[in-house]
Amino acid sequence: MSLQILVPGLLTTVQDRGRYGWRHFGVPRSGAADTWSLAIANRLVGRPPGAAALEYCLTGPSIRFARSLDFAIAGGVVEASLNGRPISCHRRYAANPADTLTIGAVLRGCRGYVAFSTPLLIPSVLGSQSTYRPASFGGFEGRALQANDLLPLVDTSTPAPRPSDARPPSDLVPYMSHNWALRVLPGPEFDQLHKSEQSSLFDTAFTVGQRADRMGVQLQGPLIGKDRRADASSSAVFPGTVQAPPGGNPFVLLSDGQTTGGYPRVAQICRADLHVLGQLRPGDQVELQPIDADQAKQLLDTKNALLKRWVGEDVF
Amino acid sequence: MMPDLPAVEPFGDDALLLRFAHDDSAVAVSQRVHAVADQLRADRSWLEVVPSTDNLVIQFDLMQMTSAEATGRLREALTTVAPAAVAQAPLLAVPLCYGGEYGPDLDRLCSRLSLTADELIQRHSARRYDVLQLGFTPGFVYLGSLDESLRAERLASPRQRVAAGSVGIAGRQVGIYGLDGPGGWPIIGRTALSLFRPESDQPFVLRAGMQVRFVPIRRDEFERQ
Repeated sequence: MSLQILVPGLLTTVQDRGRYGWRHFGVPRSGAADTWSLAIANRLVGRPPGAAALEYCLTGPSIRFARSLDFAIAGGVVEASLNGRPISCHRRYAANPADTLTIGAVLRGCRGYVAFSTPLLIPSVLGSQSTYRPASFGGFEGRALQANDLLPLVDTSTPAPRPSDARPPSDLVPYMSHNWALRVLPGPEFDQLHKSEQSSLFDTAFTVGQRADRMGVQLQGPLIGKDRRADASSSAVFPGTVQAPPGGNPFVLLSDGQTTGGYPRVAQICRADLHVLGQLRPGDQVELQPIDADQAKQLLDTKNALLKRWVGEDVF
Repeated sequence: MMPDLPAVEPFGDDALLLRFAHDDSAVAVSQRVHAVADQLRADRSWLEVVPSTDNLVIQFDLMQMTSAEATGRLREALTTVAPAAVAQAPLLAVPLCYGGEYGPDLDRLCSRLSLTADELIQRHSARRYDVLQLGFTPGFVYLGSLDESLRAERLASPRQRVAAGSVGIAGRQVGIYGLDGPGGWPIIGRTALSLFRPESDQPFVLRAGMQVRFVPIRRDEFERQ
C-alpha cells in the first residue's frame, strides 16, 4: 500500500535525521534541514523524532492516501487542505483511503515536513533513509519525488499507539520569520580576516542570496574575505560552517554541503541553531551572533530539554 | 606514542581540529594523519573523524560532553596512538581510457607541456600513486604525487558536468571523480571502475593507505565495460 504523489512540489524528498560517521568518505549528513520541525511532525503521529518523513521546499506536494493513517505537517507557514477543506499545520489528522492532502506554497520560512503514522518502506543506505541527490542514493530512488510516484509504506497490521494530544504545546511550534539570528562561534580561520571584516561578520544583517539550497546558503552584505586566495589544502567542514570564498559573499553549508573545502572557515553556527538554517529563504535577513562554548552547550541543553518534555526523548 | 602531538584547537561548539606539522613529504604527513584518524575512529567516542592531507577534524557529541571534556579525552587518546605502520600498501589497478571524449583536456595539456599524448600517458601511468584523502563528495579520491613534468592548473571556469569515473590532474595531485557533478580539474581520461557502491558491504573501494596504478586501455575496451 502506498502514498500516491499527485503533485510533487518544487523539491520533495525523503529525509530522516541524517547519516553520521561517513564524512571521511565524502558522504555528507543529508537529512532534514530543519530537524526541530521534523521532530514535531513525527511526534504528532507517534513516530520517533528522527524518523523518515517527506521534506518539501517552497511549494508542497499533493498526496492521495490508499489506506487509513494519521499524518501531520510541521515547519514553514503554509496553506494545506484535506479533500479541499483547510487544515492546520502542527496538528495531527486522520486520513482515509482516497483522501487527498494538498500542501501549497510556503509563505514564511522555507521548508516543511509531512510525517505519517505508518513508516515509509524505504531502504537504508549507509545507515539512513535520507536522500542525497548529487550521488543519487538514499530516500526514494535517490531523487526528488515526481508526479505519479507511489511511495511505499510498511505493511503493518498493528499501528503504533496514537498519542493522546493532537497538537504540540504552543511554545514548541517553530517560529517563522523573515529575520533570523543565528548564534555562532568563530571558525578556525576567523583570525585570517581583517579586524574590520571580523566586526562586519557580527554587526550586520546579511541578506540571503538567490543561491539557497540543501547544499548551502549564500549571504550578501559587506564583503568578507574577498579575493583571499583559497587554501591549497582542503579540510573538513560541516553543516553550519560559514565559509568565506574569494567572491566575498559568505556561504553557510547545509545538510547536503560538501565534506571538505579550501575556503576559510570563518564561523560555525552552533549545533543548537542548525535547524534554523532549514528555514532560510532568499531575501530573508540573517544576523550572526557570537557566543562562546559554554553558552553553546547551555543553549543545546535548554532547547533539547524543552522539546524532550513533550517528545519524550532526546531530539538533538 | 606520537613524537610531537599536534595541538588541539576548537572548531565551533562541537568539533576539534588537529593541525599536523609539514615536517615530512606530503604523502608521509597524509599517511600519519590517516593513521591517527583510523585509530581514533576505532574507539567509537566520536561522531565524525575526518582526516585531510595535513589536518584532522573530530566532531564530538555535544549532548554527551562539553568541548573542554572532549579536548581532554582527545589529548588522552593521542598519547596512546601509534605512529603510522609502514605496511605493504594494497594496490588497485585502475583501467583508464585516456584522451578523446573521455579525456577532453589531454590534447591541450600536451601542447602546453610540449609532450606527445603517448609521453603524457606513459608518465602518468608509470608510477604508483598514494591515496591521500577522500572527499569532497562521495567517491572523490585525491592521489599523490604526480610527475613534476605533468603540472597542470585547475580550469579557469569549472565544468558544469564532469562524468563519474573522470580522472583529472592539478598541481601535484591526481583526482578521481566518483560521481557526475561540477569539476574544476582538467580531465585526461575516464575509468569504468565504480569506486562508490552505496549498497555494498564495502561501499568505498579506495581507502587512505592504498595505492593506485593507472592501466591505459583503448576506447573500444573502455566502451565494452
